[in-house]
Amino acid sequence: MKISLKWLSEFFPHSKFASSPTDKAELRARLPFLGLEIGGVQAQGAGLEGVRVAEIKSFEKHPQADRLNICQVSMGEGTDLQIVCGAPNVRQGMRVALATIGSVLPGNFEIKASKIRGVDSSGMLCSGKELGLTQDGEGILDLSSDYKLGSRLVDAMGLDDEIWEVELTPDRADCLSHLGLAREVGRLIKNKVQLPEFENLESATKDVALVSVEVQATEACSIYTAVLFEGVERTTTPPAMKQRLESLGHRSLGALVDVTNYVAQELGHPLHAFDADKIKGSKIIVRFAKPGETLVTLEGTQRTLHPEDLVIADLEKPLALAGVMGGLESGVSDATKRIVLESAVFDPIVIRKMAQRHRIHSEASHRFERGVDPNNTLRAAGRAALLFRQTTGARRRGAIIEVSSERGKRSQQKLSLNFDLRAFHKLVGIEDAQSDSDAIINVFSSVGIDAQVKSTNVLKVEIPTHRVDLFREVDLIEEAARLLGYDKIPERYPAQKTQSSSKTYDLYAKLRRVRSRVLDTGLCEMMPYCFVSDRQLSKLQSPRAVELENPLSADWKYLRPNLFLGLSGILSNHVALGQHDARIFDAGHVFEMSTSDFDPTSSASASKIPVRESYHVSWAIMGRSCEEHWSTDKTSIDRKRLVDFYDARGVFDKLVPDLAAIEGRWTSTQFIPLQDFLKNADWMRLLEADAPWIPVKLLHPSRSAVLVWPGKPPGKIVGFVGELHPMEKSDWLNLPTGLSLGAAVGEIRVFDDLGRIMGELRAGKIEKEASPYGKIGVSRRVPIVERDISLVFGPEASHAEIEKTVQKSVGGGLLRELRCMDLYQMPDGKRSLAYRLYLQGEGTLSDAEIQGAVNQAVEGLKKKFGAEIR
Amino acid sequence: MSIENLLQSLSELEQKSQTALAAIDGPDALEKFRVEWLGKKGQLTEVMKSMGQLSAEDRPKVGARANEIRTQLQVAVDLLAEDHQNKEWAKRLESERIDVTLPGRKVSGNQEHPVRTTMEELVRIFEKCGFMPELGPEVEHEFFNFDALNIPAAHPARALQDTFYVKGYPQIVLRTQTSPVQVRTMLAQKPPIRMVCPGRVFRADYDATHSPMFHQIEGLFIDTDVHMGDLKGILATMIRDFFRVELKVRLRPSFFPFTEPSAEIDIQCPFCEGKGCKTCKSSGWVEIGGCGMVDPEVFKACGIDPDKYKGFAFGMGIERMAMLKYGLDDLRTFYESDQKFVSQFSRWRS
Repeated sequence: MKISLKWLSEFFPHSKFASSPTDKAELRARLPFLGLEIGGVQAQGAGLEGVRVAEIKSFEKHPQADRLNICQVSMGEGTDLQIVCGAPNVRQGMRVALATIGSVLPGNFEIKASKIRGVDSSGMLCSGKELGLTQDGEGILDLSSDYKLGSRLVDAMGLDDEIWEVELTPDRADCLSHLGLAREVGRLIKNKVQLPEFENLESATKDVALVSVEVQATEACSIYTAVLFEGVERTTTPPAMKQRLESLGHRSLGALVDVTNYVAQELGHPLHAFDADKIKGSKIIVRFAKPGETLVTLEGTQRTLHPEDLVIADLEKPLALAGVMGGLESGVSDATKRIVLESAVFDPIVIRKMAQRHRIHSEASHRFERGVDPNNTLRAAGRAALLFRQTTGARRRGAIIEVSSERGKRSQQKLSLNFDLRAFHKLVGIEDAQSDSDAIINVFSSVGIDAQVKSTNVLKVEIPTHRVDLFREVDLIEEAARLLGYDKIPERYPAQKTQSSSKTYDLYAKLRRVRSRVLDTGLCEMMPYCFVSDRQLSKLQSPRAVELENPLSADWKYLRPNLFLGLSGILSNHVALGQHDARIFDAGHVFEMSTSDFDPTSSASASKIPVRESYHVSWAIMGRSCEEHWSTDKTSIDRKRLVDFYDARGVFDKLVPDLAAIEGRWTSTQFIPLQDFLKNADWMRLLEADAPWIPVKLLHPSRSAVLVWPGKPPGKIVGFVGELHPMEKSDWLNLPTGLSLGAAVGEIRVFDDLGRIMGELRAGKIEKEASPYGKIGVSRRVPIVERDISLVFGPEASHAEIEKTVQKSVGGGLLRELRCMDLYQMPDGKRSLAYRLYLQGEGTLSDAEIQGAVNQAVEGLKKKFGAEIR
Repeated sequence: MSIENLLQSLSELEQKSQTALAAIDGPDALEKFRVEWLGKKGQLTEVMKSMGQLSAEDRPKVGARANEIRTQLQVAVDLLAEDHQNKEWAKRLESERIDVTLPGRKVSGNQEHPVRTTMEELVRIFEKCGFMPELGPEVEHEFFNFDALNIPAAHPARALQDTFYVKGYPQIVLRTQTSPVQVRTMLAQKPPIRMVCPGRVFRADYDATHSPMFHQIEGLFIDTDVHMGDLKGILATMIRDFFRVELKVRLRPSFFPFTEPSAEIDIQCPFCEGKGCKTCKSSGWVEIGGCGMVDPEVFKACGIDPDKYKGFAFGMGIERMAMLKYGLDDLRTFYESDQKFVSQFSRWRS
């Protein structure tokens, strides 16, 4: 809400606060503590110090430019100035705003003496836009001939005003006007608000009415008043009114409309003026729209009306969207001679739904949605009547018609509520001494709320009808606290007599643990936006992604179905910045439409959300596998080694113990080659159904794995680790031509269906913590013996199989650990693998025992794989 | 040989050994000296051998004298040996000199996102005060996000928050605040309640100070004897713990549908500590969030008796707190930046 300080001061004819800089500053500082935040202050006339009132004595066409005129301009005294001007509206004798040489206009635009196409120009004739006064930049400002030549424009136009942008919370509908703000300011400056002059229309109700009103939709329109005015003589808005409206950001649209806008800004009540001659049968009907009805609204849009749209209609058709926007046809124009003025109260919810449905946010709908003062209808109409007469010559004909429903009449009565001081103290905590009944009565009366002692500790409070936000005792408690000042509330530390419990804390603790363990891997946490595009989704099998009704852009149309998409976006940003190394991760919610049916009409629908959220951890590693360092041997392989599958897998291996604390099955996670899936149509269908978030098309088919928990083959899919597909990589990461870099990624679903998990936790289910360690062995104080074996295997023998075989073969529980130490790919497809056995017994092992264990391992491998000792 | 003769030759030997000792110029010469004088065939041993000819009462005298010389020599030899070793070490250590100003090999450590760090830090502060974290879904039903929070469909407050809706489901929204977690908690638990809900929220807005995705932390305290003073106390504690300086907290009247009375939370600007700077637009104060006493309508919607129980709730933006702590001014940096941006925050962690 924009507030003109000068206008505001008119409500206090005996106060001079608006002309005192210190008073103004104090007000600005104090209003926020009444809940009225000031978002901006604009001193009018700032930057216009060098602008003078001048007159165009004569002008002639510029010899070199058709559009330019050479004007001789006078400021009353001294010699005339020659100024080149491009405005189409120059005319002889016109009073204009002249920016003199050396002045600096708003936007830091300095005026200098110049030559325009060879002609000297000493100053500039300004448009309203250039001066920051109006929106109009088409022609130069046409000033009133009353303005004194040579005077400062600021003085001539009375531009010593200050405009406040007051940021109102939606409850303070009463402050949506200068009158409303004046009530609050009055409290601060200890001055009583004086209402502006208005015609008393109530005395006119005896006359014969020349229009009739029928309110059919009484539930949506509690009060409707209409007055007929005749004899519009002129429709030019007086400069002062025009200037005032424009300074508050309203375009001047002719006197008839301007008066209604003026009154709305002044008193807060939206008014509407109809061209009386466009109302068929001189009858106004307030009703809901009929099926198929249409209306062209003021700004020229043809709208098909909805049966819940409240309209103002005549006998034939709708004339206006009630309380939202007028119709183009029935609106006033320069040709209008007779007008019908509407001043009504419409239901907030009806108006809000209409405004939403038609996507209109008007000054009127803004106020009706928040609630207007039912006692303001006649006052606003009366104020408009006076202004109509003064500005256009139009006079009221006949009686004012007022149609009020029972509810409307009731709403005009003050609401009476009890205020219990004990309840106030209990909720707010301000000490009794500072908030006894006298103090409360005082602060209430300072904003026009009458309160009196009803009984000990109880006040009877009469709430004026403009305070639509006060209708419960707790609202009054807040009002009293607001007026006394929140600074009076003493700090207290709440007693901790209760044990706090959190039902979902268990989940939170687990998430915290997993995240902190990912951080331990040295990966850097990133938080990309969780929105993705069609292009990104096209790389997934069948993502069932959650689409947004109102995305901010086409690139952000869906919620992420995995974390990989966001991370790969960050990788490509790194590449774009020339950073070819990255080790990053993300942990958070991913989304998919759930397959279960959602019935919005069911009362239980709130507990069932058709979107399934799961918690994922994903990581991406790009560039070189090792950090380059000055000490690295320049011939070392590691220095050149690009990131590969095993870099990404290492992250998972590190996480396993912590994941196992959440779900024991993580320890038995199997890595199944992606190729096995690609070759198996049944498995692929399963992957599409269970894990559509895995970006199969972007992964290297033979250097990637699907992570599963053992079960009916292929098992339960819980993640993937892989290198990016070499054919897709450059395009996906936007790599410059010729740049080859390694990129490996991984992602796991840590919690499947968070909604279900949280629901169960809230219902009191306690999850048993799985031990991540299995059976804890006793620490043996016996040295560990290492022995290496090296064998040649056929191409089919996988490490996982070899490991399992050795573990089975070595007896006596001697094998503490098995490590693959070397791998050599032989030209014939066979692989030479070296393993180190870590052996430990109950006592120190003898050579025979050690050799026995080694032999068991070798024999087992020979038998299982036909492996040969190298 | 008489005892006198023996003692005499011992003294001569002592003389001689001292001269030889002084001539030792390196580890080799020292070893030679040791063999010559202290070895089994050394000169001193030879003299001792003739001791057998002496009488029983003279033998200890000579023995004592011989041992004295031997010990003397042994000490001198040990000292010299140590000295030589020290010199050797000094030479070797000098030869191993490196340039200590070169950078070390990288040890990657905690590179947590500053938003996460801030959120976790706040959660821990509240945990200390007995507020335990609760979680909820990010995609919500409007009942939890709006209706139960006293924001009915036709309320203008709904328009304050530009809500993202799920296509085809006008009731399903991306939560615009973490408050639905409060509702879920109140519906599942009986008071007293003391909880915080940290998490991600969404609003359809995008510029330097608005991101379509950001994070909030909200707290809720419900008991039979709770008033706004408690709210102030908790906020003051939190601010002191978070910024590690004494900053005043002030409440300013405001409006939220779910609280009554409602207030904005201002704190003294952490940059200038209230003196006035660019961040606080010279006012000395910055706004960090909203708070208030739980509105009776919310209690009713959550099945809690508003006459018996009172409660306060507060909420603030995590990014806002992070920006105030780290001195950032563009919210979008948190989501659109690279590893280098995130890594630099490690220096802030204690």
